[in-house]
Amino acid sequence: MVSELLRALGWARSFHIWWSRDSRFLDSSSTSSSTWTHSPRIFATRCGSSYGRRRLRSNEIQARTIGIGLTAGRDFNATDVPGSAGVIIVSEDFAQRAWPGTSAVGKPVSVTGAKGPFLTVIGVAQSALTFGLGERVRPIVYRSQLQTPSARDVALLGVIGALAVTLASIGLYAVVSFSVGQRTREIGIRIARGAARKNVVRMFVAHGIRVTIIGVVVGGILSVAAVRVLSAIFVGLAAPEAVSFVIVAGLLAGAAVLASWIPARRAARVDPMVALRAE
Amino acid sequence: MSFFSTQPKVAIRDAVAAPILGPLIAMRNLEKVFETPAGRSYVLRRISGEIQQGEFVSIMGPSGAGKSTLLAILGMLDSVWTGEFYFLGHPVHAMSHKQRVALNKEYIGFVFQQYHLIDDLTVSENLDIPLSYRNVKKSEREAIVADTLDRFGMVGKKDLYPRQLSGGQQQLVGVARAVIAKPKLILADEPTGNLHSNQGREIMDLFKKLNDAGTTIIQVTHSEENAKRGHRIIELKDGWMTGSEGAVPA
Repeated sequence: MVSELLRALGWARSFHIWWSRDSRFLDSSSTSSSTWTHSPRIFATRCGSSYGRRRLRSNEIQARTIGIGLTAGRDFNATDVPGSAGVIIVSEDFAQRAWPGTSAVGKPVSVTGAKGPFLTVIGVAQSALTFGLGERVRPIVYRSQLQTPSARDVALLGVIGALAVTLASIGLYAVVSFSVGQRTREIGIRIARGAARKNVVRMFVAHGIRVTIIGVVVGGILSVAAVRVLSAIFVGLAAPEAVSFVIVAGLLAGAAVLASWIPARRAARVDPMVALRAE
Repeated sequence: MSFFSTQPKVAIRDAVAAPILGPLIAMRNLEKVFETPAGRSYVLRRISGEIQQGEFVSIMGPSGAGKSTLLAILGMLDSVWTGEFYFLGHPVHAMSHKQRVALNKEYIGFVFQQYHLIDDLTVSENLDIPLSYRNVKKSEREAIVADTLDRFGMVGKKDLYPRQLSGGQQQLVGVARAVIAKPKLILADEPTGNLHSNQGREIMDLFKKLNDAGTTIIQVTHSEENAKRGHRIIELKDGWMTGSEGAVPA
């Protein structure tokens, strides 16, 4: 019941795989537990995701796409696109259990149901640990990310990312506004001692920029470190490009400058006598 | 002031140009009013009079008489009022906000009852504030701050923060900050209100010395004794000027 619900929600997809053998359709949940000590996993990998910028020789490509060597067949390539025939790479572990004694290449596999649609096995990859060293080897199938219906997931991640940046910006704005509010009396003193409005605004914006530079530098270093750690854990995770860092840093820096400028402008218009009474 | 005022606008550089001879301050029918749901509430009513350069004037009156409001108007910190106000002959009532800031910067120093030092800055840094808004080079500013610290006997306290000083010492810094840019006019709002009588007397002695050296001083005070240190007392009650005793020095 629970697993059906999970499957309906699309969360249990990775634990259910169908394949054909001797004109019969089998699936990973109905075969005996001795065959599958652990339920199989599905990974989507992007063609050439870890190629880097260097041109690679053809035998290198196989080992590089998913960072795991192939023992038979071929790797995903640029022709495995949404319109072309669906392809899949299976782990040695999966191949041996699904089709013992025969080559897996060319066999049909489904990750959606016994009625298909079926994907053709194009390669067999070495067995691998995917989530950590303490894990036991489990059967894995790899799909080409280009053919995986993951656009929705990617969009969702994008939305979550945008929300995170928006929340960070709002938080930043609130903190800086609060600190400007805390310094109302100081603004009054400075205006009484000859500061023009633009001097007051400039002072707060300069302070905002100084704090932002520190934040961006520290945050940048931490992000690069986090990406390295995640890349080491999750095979096939494409490292974000430098431009992503620059865009996010720019967005937050912009939010910080705005967050200093808007309240500072308002504060600079305060009647200095009122500000001086604000104890 | 109306947008359609026919009074001439004064350029900033004219506003701070060489002083015109005559009274330092001249007021004609100065009024300040608050519009409240209950009707108009006057804070100042038809204030007229002159204050000459070199005078030491005390403004007295009960709480709510409008003393501090008058001081804020004279110091260009309050811009919402009607009437005429000439500072060194310049028509303040016809000036823009920027021009008033320029006048304040050039000629006026403020001393407050609550000292109003910036807590996060040292004594030296607090003294530097007025200079930092004037076109003075950093090296010159440092020299002026050092001179002032010396003059006020505060060299040993230059790196201390306001909270590390007594009330009297803080007010001494407040006065030093007011005079550091060599203003023609010092406006003091109950400068001894938070001090012991001895400390208060020291601050009044300091004002007397500054006045003897030519600085015009206008103070708001509740103390008869302090008021008598000046040449003249202006009395306010309910926004009206009810009296002016004493003589303008020759």
